[in-house]
Amino acid sequence: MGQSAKTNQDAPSPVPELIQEPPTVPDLLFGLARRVPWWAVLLFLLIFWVGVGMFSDKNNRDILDWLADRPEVKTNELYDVVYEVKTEVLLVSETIRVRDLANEFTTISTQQVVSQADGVITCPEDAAEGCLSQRGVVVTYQDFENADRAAPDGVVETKALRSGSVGTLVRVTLADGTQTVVPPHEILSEEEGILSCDRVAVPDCESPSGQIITFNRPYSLHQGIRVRADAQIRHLDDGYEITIRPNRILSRREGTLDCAPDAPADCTSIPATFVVYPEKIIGTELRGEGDNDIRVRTVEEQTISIARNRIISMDVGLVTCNRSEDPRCQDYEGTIVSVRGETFKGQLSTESGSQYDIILAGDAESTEFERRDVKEETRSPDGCTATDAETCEITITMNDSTVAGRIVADNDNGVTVETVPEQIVTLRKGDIYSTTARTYKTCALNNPRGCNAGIWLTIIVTLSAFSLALVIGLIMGLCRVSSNPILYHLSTFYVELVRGVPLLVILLYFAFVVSPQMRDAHGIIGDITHPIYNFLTDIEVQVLGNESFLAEAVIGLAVGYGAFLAEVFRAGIQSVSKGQTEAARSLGMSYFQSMRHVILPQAIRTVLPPLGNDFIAMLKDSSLIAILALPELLQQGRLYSTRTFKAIPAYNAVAIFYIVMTLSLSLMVRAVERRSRLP
Amino acid sequence: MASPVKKDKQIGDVIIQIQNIHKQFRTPRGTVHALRDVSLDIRTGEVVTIIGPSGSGKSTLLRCINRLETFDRGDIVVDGIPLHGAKNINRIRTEVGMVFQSFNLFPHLTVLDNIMLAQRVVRKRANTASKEKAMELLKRVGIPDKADVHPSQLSGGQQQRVAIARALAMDPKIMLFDEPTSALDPEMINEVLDVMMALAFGGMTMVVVSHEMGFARAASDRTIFMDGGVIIEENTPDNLFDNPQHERTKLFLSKIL
Ligand SMILES: Nc1ncnc2c1ncn2[C@@H]1O[C@H](COP(=O)(O)OP(=O)(O)O)[C@@H](O)[C@H]1O
Ligand SMILES: [Mg+2]
Repeated sequence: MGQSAKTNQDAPSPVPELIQEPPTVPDLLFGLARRVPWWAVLLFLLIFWVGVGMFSDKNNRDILDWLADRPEVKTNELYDVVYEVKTEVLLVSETIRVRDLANEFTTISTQQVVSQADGVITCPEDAAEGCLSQRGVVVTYQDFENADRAAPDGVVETKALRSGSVGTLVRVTLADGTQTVVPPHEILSEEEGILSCDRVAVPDCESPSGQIITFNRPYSLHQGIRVRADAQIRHLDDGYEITIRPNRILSRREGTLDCAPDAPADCTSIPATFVVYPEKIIGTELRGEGDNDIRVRTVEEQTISIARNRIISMDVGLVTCNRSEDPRCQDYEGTIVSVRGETFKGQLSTESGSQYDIILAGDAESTEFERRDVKEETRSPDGCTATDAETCEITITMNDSTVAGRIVADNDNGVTVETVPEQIVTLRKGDIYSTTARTYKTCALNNPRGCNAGIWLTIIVTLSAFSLALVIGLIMGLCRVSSNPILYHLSTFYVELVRGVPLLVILLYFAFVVSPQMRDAHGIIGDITHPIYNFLTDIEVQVLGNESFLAEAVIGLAVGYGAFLAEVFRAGIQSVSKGQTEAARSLGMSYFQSMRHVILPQAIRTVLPPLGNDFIAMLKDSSLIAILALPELLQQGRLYSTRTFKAIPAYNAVAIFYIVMTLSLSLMVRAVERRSRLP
Repeated sequence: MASPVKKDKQIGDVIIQIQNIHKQFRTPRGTVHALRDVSLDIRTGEVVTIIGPSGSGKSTLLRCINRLETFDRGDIVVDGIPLHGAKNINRIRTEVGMVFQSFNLFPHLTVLDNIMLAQRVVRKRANTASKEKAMELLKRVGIPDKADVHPSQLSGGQQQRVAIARALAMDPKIMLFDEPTSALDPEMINEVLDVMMALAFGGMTMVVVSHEMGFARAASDRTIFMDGGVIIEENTPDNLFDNPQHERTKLFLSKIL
């Protein structure tokens, strides 16, 4: 503690005023130069010069759209609302996936299951070399297709309709419509009759009549470890099939499946299982909702002709299909047209708080316009109202909007776009499970959540991965200075392991080893996909709109950098002198109190510069995730370059974006360092 | 030096009972037997000074009393609580204040916050109460005007006085001082000793490792000479300094005088 002895501790010494004059312009310049160093200025100038040179060429400017994810503001109406509604459907069958000793996966229906219980499958004596016994939920099931006809494990009496013959074999059609062949000696009886059709598959089906054959259908028994269940569900009214992950199912109910009113006379009600699951309805809420329900206008599909002079811009983009009509539909690449609002002129006939009624020029009847769809209005004479009948002329301009869909005509007059037909859906309030605002895919200043490619994804990934890495690093760093040997050795093992593996390998490992293992986590963890996996997938869908390697990339980066940050934190904590801990502990503070109030606040100041460096390094290393096909900055640049063969502007722009970000960050880090310095 | 007149103090029951403690440090270069079978009783209100050559185990003994250092054998009973295997060690530490040779103030906090921190997080005192207490203590150690500066802006003497105030803020029953003045420039030693003297006359139980003979004579009731991890001799300060019984005590005193 080298404290200078000059200080006079008792007399309150008046501090001599050293700075007497206000700062002059050279003083200020000197101060600025210390904050923004010359090399930063030089680099920014260089970037500016290269950038201006490059983008003054009109041909090169479209690269910016790729890298910045189209950031211009287009319209105010970018928001949809996603309602998750409880929907009840008929459960036709549940399928489960099993894995056998040879690691082959098979999907079977629960109706084929004979038994399932915790246990072990042991390798048979004649098993292939390398066969390992496996434990988990062992499922024994009937296998018809691979039934070994020489020595089946058993037979079930089955009825089928004779539909022909193949040599001496009889061809039959089973109740579910599939065909099979029966050797004559397996036939038990044959008589004229009706084969009850599969009412579950088709509720108002007609049972076929003809020669009904009863025969012994052979099956062989197989065993496997249960890995995952997928519920197969058939919709009651329009009969489409969907597959729902069991963990999405909200509830189940046993009930009866009644015959349709126009069903044939021999139709009888049958017991059935119904499940409730959340279905997504996307649209905007209409005014005038009831007490128990709300009306929603779904956003999509109709054919719209748009005059050329109303088109603001046209872009290629993803068009969301109408899921409420066909839940399995695929979003498709279509055209997104930004349309300037139309202008209408006419006599104002009536007017209310929410709408105008206007008799348009040449019309006899009035037309209604929603006030909230109107961007601006002018009246002549100025400020006239509907009571000034026949004299009040009004001109209204509607809001700008976007139309997304397929171009069906494109000529001098304009374009015609076919969208998904809009629907009005009434939702029971009690059925609404969650309501979220979803933004349309357009990236705009009033819609930052729509920005999810290029530079935005780089920023999102870097920020989330670095936050996670900070948490991992802090915990591991604390373990590294812990006196608990287990924590110490575990954290040391983690640090040495992760530091020894290239980041790229870690990323690939998480994407192609850890993640699939979690998806197919078997019996021991649970017979469904690992819940963490589902949780992460849901986040991915939120951010990017589809399942991707986003979560794997973020976790991979965080785990990789966690090891470096752990060492940074360890060094920071150890740089605080032992006397500090002793002083804190001697005052009665616990280990965590002294860490929290005394050691960490001092350590943080030491670790800020290396943390800043690692943050910048991670921003750059986030480009590695391009290998997982995520559309971040580098990947977008690469795509642009391969599609347009314009490599020079592509990579120049990528480099410029990176250096602008890293340089700004490094200036910010310097500023934070300066502010956190102790007096 | 302040008045050598000892105020009539009330010496009470035994508050620290050190019973045959042993302490060994295992280092790569060998085992250091820092304390060998040390026993000592200290009563409430008593001021005990410990002297001895460097490496004789004075600091180790002091640090054992608030268990900053563990001991191998024997036991120490502080205020009725045996330290060996004690679970509520943090409670015991709040009763025992400690002042270090190198001050160990928290550099990231102002003087006021240094004194308030433990009051708030350990004693759970309200902000206003702990601030009031801190200001009162700063007045007692004579630097109320330095409340809002950081420790690095203080002289060594001022820093040590803040450290004393910080320890006193926990209302300890016992104060331990480990060479509180040996890192100070000579002209600052007295300002710290004056504070300690006032504390001693106020009836605080104190164990002080210090070679300031003036302080020992004026303020302490007993002086202990340690060497090689053993208590060689103990007596009233005047008797020990003027009339040492052991050869080693004589030799040591001849060196420091
Ligand atoms: N943490 C430690 N590790 C190893 N040896 C130590 C440690 N602390 C003290 N010692 C040794 O114990 C002996 C006593 O030290 P100490 O109590 O600090 O002596 P003093 O305060 O009387 O100078 C010395 O020989 C010292 O080297
Ligand atoms: Mg010492």
